[in-house]
Amino acid sequence: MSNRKDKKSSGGKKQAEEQQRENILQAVVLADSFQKRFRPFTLETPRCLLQLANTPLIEYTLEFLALSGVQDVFIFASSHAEKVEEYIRSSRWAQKSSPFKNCRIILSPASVSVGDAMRELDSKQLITTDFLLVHGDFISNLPLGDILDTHRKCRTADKNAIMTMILKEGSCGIRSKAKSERGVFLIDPATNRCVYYDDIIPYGRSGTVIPRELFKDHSELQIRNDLIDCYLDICSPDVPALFTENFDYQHIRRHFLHGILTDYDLYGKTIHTQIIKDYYLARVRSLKAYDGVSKDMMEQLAYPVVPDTNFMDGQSYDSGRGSRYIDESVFLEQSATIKPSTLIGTDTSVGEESVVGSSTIGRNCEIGSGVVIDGSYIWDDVVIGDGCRIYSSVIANGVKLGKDCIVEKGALISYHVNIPDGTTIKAGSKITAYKRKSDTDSDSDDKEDKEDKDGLLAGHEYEDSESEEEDEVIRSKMDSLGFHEEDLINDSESSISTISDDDEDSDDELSPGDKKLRERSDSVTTATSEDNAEADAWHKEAAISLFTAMEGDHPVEVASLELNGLRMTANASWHQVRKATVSALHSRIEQVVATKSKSLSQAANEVFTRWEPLVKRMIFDQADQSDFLLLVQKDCVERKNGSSLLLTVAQRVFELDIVEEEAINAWWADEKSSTEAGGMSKVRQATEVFVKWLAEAEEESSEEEEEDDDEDDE
Amino acid sequence: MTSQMVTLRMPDLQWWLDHLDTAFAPDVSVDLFVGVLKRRSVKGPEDAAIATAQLFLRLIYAHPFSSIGDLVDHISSVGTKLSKAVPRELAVRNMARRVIGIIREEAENNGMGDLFQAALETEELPKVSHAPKGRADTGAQLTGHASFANPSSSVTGVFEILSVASSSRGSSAASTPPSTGMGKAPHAQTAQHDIRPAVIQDIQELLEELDSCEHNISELATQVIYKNEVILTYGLPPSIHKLLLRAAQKREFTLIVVVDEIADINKQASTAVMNKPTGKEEAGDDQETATRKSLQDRGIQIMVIMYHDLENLMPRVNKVIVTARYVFADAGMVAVTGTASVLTIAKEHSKPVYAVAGTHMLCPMTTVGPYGLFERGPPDITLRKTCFSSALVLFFLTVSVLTAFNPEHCRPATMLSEYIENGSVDCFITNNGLIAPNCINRTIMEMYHTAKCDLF
Repeated sequence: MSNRKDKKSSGGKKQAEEQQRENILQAVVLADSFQKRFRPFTLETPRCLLQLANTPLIEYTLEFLALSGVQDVFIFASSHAEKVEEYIRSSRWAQKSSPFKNCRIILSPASVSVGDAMRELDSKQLITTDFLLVHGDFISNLPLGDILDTHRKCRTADKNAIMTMILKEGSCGIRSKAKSERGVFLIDPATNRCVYYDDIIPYGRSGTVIPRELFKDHSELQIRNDLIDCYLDICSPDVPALFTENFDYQHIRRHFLHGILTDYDLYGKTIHTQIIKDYYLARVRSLKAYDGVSKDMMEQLAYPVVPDTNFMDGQSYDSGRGSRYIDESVFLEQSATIKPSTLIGTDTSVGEESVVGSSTIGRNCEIGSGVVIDGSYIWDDVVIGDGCRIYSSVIANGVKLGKDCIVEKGALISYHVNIPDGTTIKAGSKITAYKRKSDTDSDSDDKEDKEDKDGLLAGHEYEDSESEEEDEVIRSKMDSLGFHEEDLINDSESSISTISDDDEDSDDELSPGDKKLRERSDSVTTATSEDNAEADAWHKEAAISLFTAMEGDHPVEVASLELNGLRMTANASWHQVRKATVSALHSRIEQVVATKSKSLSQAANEVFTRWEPLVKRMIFDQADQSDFLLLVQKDCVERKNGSSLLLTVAQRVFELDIVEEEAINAWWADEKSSTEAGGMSKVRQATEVFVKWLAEAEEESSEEEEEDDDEDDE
Repeated sequence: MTSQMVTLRMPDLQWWLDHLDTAFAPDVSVDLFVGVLKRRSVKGPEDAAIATAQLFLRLIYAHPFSSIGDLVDHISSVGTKLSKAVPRELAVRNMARRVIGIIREEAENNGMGDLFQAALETEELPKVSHAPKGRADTGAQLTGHASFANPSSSVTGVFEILSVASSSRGSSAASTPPSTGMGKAPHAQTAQHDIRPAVIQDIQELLEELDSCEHNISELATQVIYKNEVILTYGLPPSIHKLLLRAAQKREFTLIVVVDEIADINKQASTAVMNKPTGKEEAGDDQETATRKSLQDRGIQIMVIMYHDLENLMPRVNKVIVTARYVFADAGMVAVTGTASVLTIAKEHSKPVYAVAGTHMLCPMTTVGPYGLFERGPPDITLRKTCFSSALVLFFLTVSVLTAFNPEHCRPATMLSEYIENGSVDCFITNNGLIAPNCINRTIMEMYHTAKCDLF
């Protein structure tokens, strides 16, 4: 009886508390990283559910929030959203005894960047007070109390202080520091205001240009690139609003921070920093960081966030000497050797004469006898046959390794792959059993064929066939597990501050070390220059935004304005604009054909009639016209029904007076168009009829004209 | 603008007590407390003891009484769960034992001692099979409870319990096999008198005892400190500070405070010496700190020395006072890192050593491998003392030394406490009076009423 009464009274008090709670800090956890660095694992699991020291990453993030007393949490999930939701719903955070009073999950599968997430947040109007923005792979033991106090002081002093970034001081030598994502912060030490930010692109231009005016306004400035930026921010509601205002902001640092600070005159918003010295802050951004953070955990740098705190139910790690964490009911053979910095999950057995050192082994694993495991991360339910040797690799759940396999440095083996006896897995290879669902591009078809031929391996080598931002490729390369030795070279050498008024080519100032690295980076990737990467990214963005406009049937003016805006921000050429438009138009035509079951010519007619003004706006003379046609042709090469598409498009643009005859002729005669390379000539075969017809018609008309002339003469 | 101002509240002891007052719900609160303990939001013997005792008070209040067996089951299962959360925070475990002890006492007062014994025994059997390591709280043999809130009553209490315990032990050994105990319980249910009010009252006494612990310790000041003595302390923790303040009212003496590289000790010592309010006191007794005179005001001469001066000054010292974190039944103890070396030097010079410990720190166990008992902290706390450049040099030195001499490449984890073997302390100052090390065992046995100690 008394029990029931108790509940009632506590319920009543809860309501009163809810009113109070309005002022308690809320936190937004971005469960998605919007990156691809943990591929192939992230093909099947979201990054925040990958396990570090046998605990999913998001647990650490939520634990950090609980440690500071945050009570209201929004988890923002986009890729694999349903998996994140399922996990959170069944976890202790959703239970009554959770330290959070409120733990909501926002599903937004369409978001592909932080910017999208923030815009979504703004449109839903869920947050009205200041909030903490944190990523789902963040690990820390930082208590937020004091930091929040300082932030509040800033806010009361200046209404325009919209954001406080929490950064950790740490120079080289910190393992968990991501080598690739570094930025330069200019901080006014008097107010802790950040006045300028620029991203440092690894191996790219190694300098940054600081506007001179900044030195006039601030008597003292610190230029720092020794800060570990975990993207931990206390934001005001203005921040999502600003993201909505600037729909092209994707990255919170590269775009948002840089943009807001550069356009200080326009927005008048200030952003402050707080630099942390004593606590542990890290984000698991890459495999390298994963390796580093795991080691830090073993050494208890993030105390009380350590394995033997046993946050998760069903864990009971015991910390022995030399940081060996061994759960209950682990079976170790007498002759097995467990070296320091090792963590072994429950119900795992290790066979005779096996040696396990500085590794993490998950739950329910079976490790045979005579196995050597060094510096590796083995997740749950893995079976490792006798005599295997595994060095610095990651092996995901459910993998079966046959006898006497050798896994060399930096190999990644994804979920449920079976490796037959005696296989050697080369350094740095990525193996997955996951098959791409969307087999639209022939590329992946090929790959599966290959796999069938191989037959032996139940799993195929994974390569990222999607055209990825080349920049991103380098970044992820640098941070891969195998990349151990060389990476310290450039740590000290990258020169930062190039103070000048105009954009000087900073390539001249590359230090020798950087040049070397740059050469290496060139050999790593196929596309060389960084400009290409930028252009690619812009092209993709523009094409997508235009395509969505077409899908949504926006007015031509709006689409054109948007495109123009994009063009201006990236300073793109009209050629690029046309390229993007062509690709968007073609996608649209294909879509119309597919969805409305119309013939190709009908669809092309419909689309081009509708968007004719837009196309005309980007074509100024005849050279542009032929360029347009060339782009159409190029794009058609990559399309399924390329040749017929090219024909219909060519007809349509001619009929609509987008291009003139001369342009068509010029295009037809162009070498680029008629070369064999890349199937260009193949795709234009069908169009030949049209061009011939055109030529004939022209002759006729010219004859007629001549005749007319003749008549006139007479 | 004001609506946008946001705050946060650290989930500390005060937060926990507020939670218990406002939003207590039995199961939820237990799980929440496990989380709080694991996160180390509530730590240190005093805080942990108070938080645990308060939780048990609410739990017993909320638990519908059907039989003693049921109540004991409930409490000891919660106790096991809590003490498993952070095994090294022994105060949690001690409190669980004390509460079960209270239930026993009240059961016996109401003539239901047999029922209690039966309940304990049935309950113990499955538990042993579950936890082969013996890590779980084997709250078995512990029985009576002695409250030290009121020293005069405790004496009679001990005698009472002794006599009752011996009789009950005899009876249980003779006649109650576990299975019959199970069968008996429903049968006896009708007759069972609800002992909860009495238990609740006793727990409140226990809480008072915890509350007045430091005060009671400081009452012993005159017995410990004599005129014109030179007292040496390691740091100046609040319990010793109060003791010295009390002594300073009556006597004049000289105080030497040893500080070390450890930031905690430094901070504690400096706030105490400068008579600043510590963070914990700020909230509650502002007035007390304001009116309180500092040691210097009371005419005490204080010297703060670094650890390396210890050797020089030790010959002039009359007494060494340190604090214990936990005291074991063999008079070994866990104390703040650095205490052991102070005690070693004291021993070299044959100086008497006093250790301050509350009764909630006395643990009915002995230990051989104390590694798991140490409080740890993030390495930064101790490593970031020196300035940047020297830290870097130091770091590289350590790394090179470690790699040279430590083939296993492991960095030492930071230990905030260390184990001190028995024999280094001459006398324990507890809120139950001064206890000699060779009497600690007996005192603990009596307090928890166990026949033998656990081995950790």
